[in-house]
Amino acid sequence: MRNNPWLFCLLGVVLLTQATWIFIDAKKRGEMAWLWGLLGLLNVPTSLIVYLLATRRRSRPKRV
Amino acid sequence: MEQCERIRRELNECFVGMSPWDESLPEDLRNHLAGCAGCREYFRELREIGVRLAEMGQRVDSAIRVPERAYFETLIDRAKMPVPILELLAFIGAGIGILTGIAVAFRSGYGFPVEVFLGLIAVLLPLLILPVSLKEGIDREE
Repeated sequence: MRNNPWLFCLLGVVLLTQATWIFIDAKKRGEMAWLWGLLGLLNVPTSLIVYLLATRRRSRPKRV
Repeated sequence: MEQCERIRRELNECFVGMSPWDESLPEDLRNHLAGCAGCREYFRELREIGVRLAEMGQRVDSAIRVPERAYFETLIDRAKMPVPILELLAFIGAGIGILTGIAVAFRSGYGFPVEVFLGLIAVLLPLLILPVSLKEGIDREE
């Protein structure tokens, strides 16, 4: 990996795409968009899974 | 009329349940709805808003338990609102900067400890945030 710059670039694009999507989604949901977005830059796909778990679980409707 | 107001207040309370609508409504509410066109219309509007909110993935928790339907509309407007393009560009710029910084640190030969440190942050931070975030969500619901 260290010797393959294209792999680095691909990883960067995937991370940036993931982080941007998380940022936009968090912004629309009124979450802390910058924090979640920066978290999305750290790795893939754990950050995305953590974000989805945290936000979707919170928004699950309660039954009467 | 007073009865209609009470029924509508109760319908607002039921809004939190979201689904299944008809089955979850108490018997007296259903009976009233069957005989009152105004409340039926009110209920239909509420259900429409509920479905729209659910489609947008908006939170449906105790915060939505407010009688003013204008509040629901505010939520809908907020979800429709586009993300400010400047803020999005700022975020993408910051993201590119951070990734470039990490790549430079990774490739400039600082060595094993720096790589392990960056790796640990990348792996552990999201996992540490999850329980905190879930707890905050539970607290907010309570």
